[in-house]
Amino acid sequence: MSASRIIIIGGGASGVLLAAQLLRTSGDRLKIALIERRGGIGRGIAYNTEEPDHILNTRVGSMSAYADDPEHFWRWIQASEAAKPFCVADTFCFVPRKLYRRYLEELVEPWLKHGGDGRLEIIHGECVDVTETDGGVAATLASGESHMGHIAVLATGHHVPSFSSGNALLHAWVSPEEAGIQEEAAVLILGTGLSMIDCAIQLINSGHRGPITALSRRGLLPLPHKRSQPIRIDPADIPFGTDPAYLLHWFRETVRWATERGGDWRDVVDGIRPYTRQIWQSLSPGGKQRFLRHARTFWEIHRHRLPPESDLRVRLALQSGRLEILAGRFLGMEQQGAGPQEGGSLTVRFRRRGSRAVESRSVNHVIDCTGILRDPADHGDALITSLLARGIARRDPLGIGIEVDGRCAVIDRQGTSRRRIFAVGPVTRAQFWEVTSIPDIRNQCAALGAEFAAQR
Amino acid sequence: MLTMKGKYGLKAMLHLAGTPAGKMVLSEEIARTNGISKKFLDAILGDLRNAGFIHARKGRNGGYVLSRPPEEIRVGHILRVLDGPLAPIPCASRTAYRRCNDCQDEERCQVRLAMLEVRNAISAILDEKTLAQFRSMGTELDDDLAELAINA
Repeated sequence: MSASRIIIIGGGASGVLLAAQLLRTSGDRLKIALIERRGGIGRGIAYNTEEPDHILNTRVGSMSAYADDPEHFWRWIQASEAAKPFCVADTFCFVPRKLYRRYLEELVEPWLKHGGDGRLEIIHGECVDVTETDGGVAATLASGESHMGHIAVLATGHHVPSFSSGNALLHAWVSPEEAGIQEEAAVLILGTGLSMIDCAIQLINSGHRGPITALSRRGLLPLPHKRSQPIRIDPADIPFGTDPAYLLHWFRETVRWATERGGDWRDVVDGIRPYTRQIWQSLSPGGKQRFLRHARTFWEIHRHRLPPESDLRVRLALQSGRLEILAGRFLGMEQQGAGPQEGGSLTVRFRRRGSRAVESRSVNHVIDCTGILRDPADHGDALITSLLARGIARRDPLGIGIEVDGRCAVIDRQGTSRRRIFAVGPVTRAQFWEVTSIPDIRNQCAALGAEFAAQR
Repeated sequence: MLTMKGKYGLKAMLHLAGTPAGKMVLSEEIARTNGISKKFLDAILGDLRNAGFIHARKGRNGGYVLSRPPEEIRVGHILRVLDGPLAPIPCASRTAYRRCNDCQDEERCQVRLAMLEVRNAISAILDEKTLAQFRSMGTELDDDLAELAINA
């Protein structure tokens, strides 16, 4: 099969990384069309922020776009004018996410029409459907125009609820101004993870003075980054295929073992990291469900850590009483009087962890920061909804993404891998679990590039 | 090293893999058929249950059953639970490492380095093999012999 034109749907980090990876490793004949509905590329939910205190949660040294060139981002930072204002003493530092967006934009410049060789075409529009034809694929935009190619790759990212101003429940990826949050307003944030911290920092930076409360089942905050020395682990050391409870026991034992030798739990988490995909794939369907229900939070606060700067901000906010963390269960909310934007209030009901008493509190806004794990059947964009409805794709049994096979080919309703439709990034998390951070996505893009090269 | 525990555990898993799906098997039956002491077997079955490879039910109609189809269970995964990280000698492991009494330099000991390679090769083979494949190994031999007999 000659794949000389590839259509990538979604110009966020996953789509850009894939485009760059394919263009730099293939011959001159390959052309790519990148379809993006937002104004520019690199503007998925992670990097579409102007807030300077929204910084990368991963150290600079791990953020290269290319798996085989791990210093690429570091070199860019040292050479780039845009990075000059930031303190970048070594590769263990955390820079603003908008700077990373700039990196993503510059990454593909050599192939753009203006200033490049023109092999990359960026198409502005919302893709609403993809169909397979005899010789290729056709991507249809909301405007009605369609684009032909040999292969389509879905890089649609996280399926998060879209923002509408009439909705009482706000979501994490809207700025306080857009959401119409008054400076004095009482705000309740659902969730205490990385999204909550982004949201709280942005609120405080915008001059917010009202009380901010964050509520989650366990009230656990992400743990801070520290320099780590990953321990060396071989596959033979890891109890693959066992239940999450057993794995957790093994993890704790290994941490104890590493600590006795002067190490730290971070060394173990980072040592396991190359195998997280294999561990996930070895779990039974029930085991995956138990992991999501009982162990996910525990894993995530250790695995997806907080930069020291953000950690300090959160600690200060907690100490000064600007931010309060509650462990408990959110039970519901009712609107009192006018809508939140008109100064009305919401009564929120919740139950503290370990208590039976239902408490209620009056707030002006509730912001959903419960994270990125959403059911594509409920929150998928127009394209995913259409593919699911036509049976070209199917929702995975856990309801966290669409099903793909080990080569990233989309699996249809009959259980057959589609020949010409692939997917990368967070939308494939049911198969790979850890595909939300750049180091994981770039590996996936490199594997997909090799796959396409083998087909040609 | 494959210990007695590992060997008997595998035999028990193979026994369970050979029973119709959903049918509970008593540990007495597994012990009797495979010539294992019941007390030892019960301890092994307890470990396999903790790791989530088998389900157990008490009382009438109780017994043991595989928690997943034998096509999904890897032999290497079972052995790790019973025998640890597949190390031919105790120091040939990264996380359950135990130093030899006469060890002078673990990073340079050629015996250890060679045995680490050996165990990685062991795990690579055993992790590819499913319980179902393991079960059919003997029968494939029968098929080959039958074919030989036909062709003779």
